[in-house]
Amino acid sequence: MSGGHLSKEFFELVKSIGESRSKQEEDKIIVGEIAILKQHLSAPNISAKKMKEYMIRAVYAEMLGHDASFAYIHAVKLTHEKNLFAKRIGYLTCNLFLHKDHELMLLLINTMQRDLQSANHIEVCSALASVCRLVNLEMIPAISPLVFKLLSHPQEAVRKKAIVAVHKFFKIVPEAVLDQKDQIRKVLCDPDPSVMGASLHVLCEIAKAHPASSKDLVPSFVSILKQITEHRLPRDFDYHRMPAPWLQVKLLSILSILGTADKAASEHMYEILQECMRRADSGVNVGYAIIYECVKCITRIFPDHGLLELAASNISRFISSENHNLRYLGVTGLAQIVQVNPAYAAEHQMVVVDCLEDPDETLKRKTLDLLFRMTNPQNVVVVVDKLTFHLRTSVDSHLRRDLVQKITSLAERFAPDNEWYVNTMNTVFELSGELVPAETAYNLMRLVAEGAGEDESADTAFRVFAVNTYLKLLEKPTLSDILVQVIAWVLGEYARLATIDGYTIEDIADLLSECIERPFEDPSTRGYLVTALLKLIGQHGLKSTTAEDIIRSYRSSRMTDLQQRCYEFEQLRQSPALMRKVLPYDASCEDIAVNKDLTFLESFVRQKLDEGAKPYQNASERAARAQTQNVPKAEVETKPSLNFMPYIGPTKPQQLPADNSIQMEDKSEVLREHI
Amino acid sequence: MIKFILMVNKQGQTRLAQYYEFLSVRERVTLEGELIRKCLSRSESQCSFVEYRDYRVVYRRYASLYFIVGIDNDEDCNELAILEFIHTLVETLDKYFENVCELDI
Repeated sequence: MSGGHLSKEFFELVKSIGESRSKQEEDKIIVGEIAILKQHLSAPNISAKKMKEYMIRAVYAEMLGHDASFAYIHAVKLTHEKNLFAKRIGYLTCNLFLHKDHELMLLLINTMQRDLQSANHIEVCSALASVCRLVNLEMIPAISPLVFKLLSHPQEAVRKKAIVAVHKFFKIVPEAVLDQKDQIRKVLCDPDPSVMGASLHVLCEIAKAHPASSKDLVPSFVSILKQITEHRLPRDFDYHRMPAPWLQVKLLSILSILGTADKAASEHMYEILQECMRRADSGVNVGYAIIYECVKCITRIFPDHGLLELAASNISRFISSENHNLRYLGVTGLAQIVQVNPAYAAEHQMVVVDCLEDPDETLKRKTLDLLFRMTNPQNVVVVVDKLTFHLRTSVDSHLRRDLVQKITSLAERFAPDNEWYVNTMNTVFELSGELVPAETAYNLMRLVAEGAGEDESADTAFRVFAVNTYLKLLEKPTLSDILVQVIAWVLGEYARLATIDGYTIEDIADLLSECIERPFEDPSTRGYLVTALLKLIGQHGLKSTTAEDIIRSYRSSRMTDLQQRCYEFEQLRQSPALMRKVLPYDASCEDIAVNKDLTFLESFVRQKLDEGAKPYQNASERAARAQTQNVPKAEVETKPSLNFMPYIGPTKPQQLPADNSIQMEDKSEVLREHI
Repeated sequence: MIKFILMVNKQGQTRLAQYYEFLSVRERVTLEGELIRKCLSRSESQCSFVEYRDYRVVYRRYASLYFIVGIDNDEDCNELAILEFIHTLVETLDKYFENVCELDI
């Protein structure tokens, strides 16, 4: 690599980084380098050649983790250069430094537009590469017509980059691309295979968004796949004698999207799928990747028995292989097959259990996933046990959230009986209450309130069980918020059902009051506890001094919710009969009848009117009255919101970088005002 | 969709970093540090795929250099295909540099 145009400093930098033995040493070198760069860049009139080099060094610094934002503006300026080399480096550094929401993007748009229309295709390519990286929502109307025109450029490198840019547009604004579907389809038939391959990505996204509109392309995809597997592409696309494996994988994933639940489309694909799997079976990793993709496809499209058998046999080969990567694929593939037909899982149970005990964490996670999909009412207890065990032992928060979700959904779907469900949910709350969504708690509470719906005595027995369990749980010193909420609610409603010895209603009330003192993450939990106490006192006419003291002390709490509850309690306490009516027993499921017209207040209103109070005037009457009485106010001085005084003219950027950036900000201010 | 490609050596020095989604410099540094620690702690007999935050990460070790590719999670991503992609990358570098080694990078 010729380094004649690079300075000695650059060589020194690269060498010293290569030789540095530790991260700290490397950090020191880079910090020194950044200081030198700042000094150089502040010098006036830097030649393009030198600027190129400084930019590369800035990129180096950023790559190794240090901030080099002082160099960004120079990168943007470099793209304006006529010299192709400098322009390319300018674009490259912009790609690396900037992102789509960066303030300097505005300065780049104009250059990009000019370069996209230039006659020199290298310039077009560099501009396109930047478009792919940096385009944002505002730029699309300006840039997209140019890009679409470039789809038919004579150079295939340009066409390829253009279609990748179209892909990026699709991700940001799908509608912009959907109008141009015909043009994109033409790219699919492009004679150059790499352009065709690039178009597959856009078509994949379109197929995911609108499968119906792409169904007519199924024969084309099938025929392309056929051509690939028959080695009709140029030799360069072969990888270890496997023709264009990534294209095959992409085509297979598109086919799987289009064939879902569509018998006619799927029938087109059966033959080619079989052929593909047969040819891919070559003993190389890449071949296995293609087989895996085929299996995924087979499980998604309209099921065909023969293909499923083939897929299952391949998966069993994977799962029992020595190569751990293949086992991983096998487990994942099995999870998908099982969704179509659970029978296939049975023969591999031993292997799956082995995988679960494997020290490899990734494999364990995938096996848990497989177990989750394989659950049925028979094995749900075992599966949930395993999941709970992992929840207990794992530390990673993403995994825990995932496990909590799985356990709750399994418990809700397959619970053998209510008691087991309550126990499982309690364990989950205890282990990781903060990760459980609130709906789960509501479901649980609703279950306790409504019961299973058939048998009154079974419901009561269940409620007794729930109350007893929660009473015992309350003894524990630390509980998660959501659990305390549930306990408080259940005890408030059904405390009289408690059958454990030594716990009278007074004791329960005392326990609850003591609970209020505990520190909570969610302040509304105390609200729950206070309401529970209210219910107990209301229904049983308790005279519990501890409870009343607590409530009086929380009357002045900062949380308005809590304050309101305490005040309501004080008021209600004064008439026990009213309290019993407002907080009836076991009536959480009944609707509250609201008299919208407030007819019961008629007599009160009439009495007040007789005493001489003014009758009510609604808003329009009030406004009419106000206008006639209005004194015309002085005109409000309207200050102009835009400052039309000219700014101080921009001076040439000759000073220190600090000044430079301020001036640039001025310029962009002006730009923004005028847009 | 590939989110990032990294080449990190055993001492934790990043030799190459290419990000396809914007992450601030500080986030990048933490990401690289945590990932290399995770990959280093795995043995040969464990599979090359890891789940990290909300990405799936595929890595492969060549001599003292770890090639790490991060892809979108829960998509139709074929991890083995990505692994082979890493290998293609290495083969291409090899062809270009003739017997590539870490120093070339």
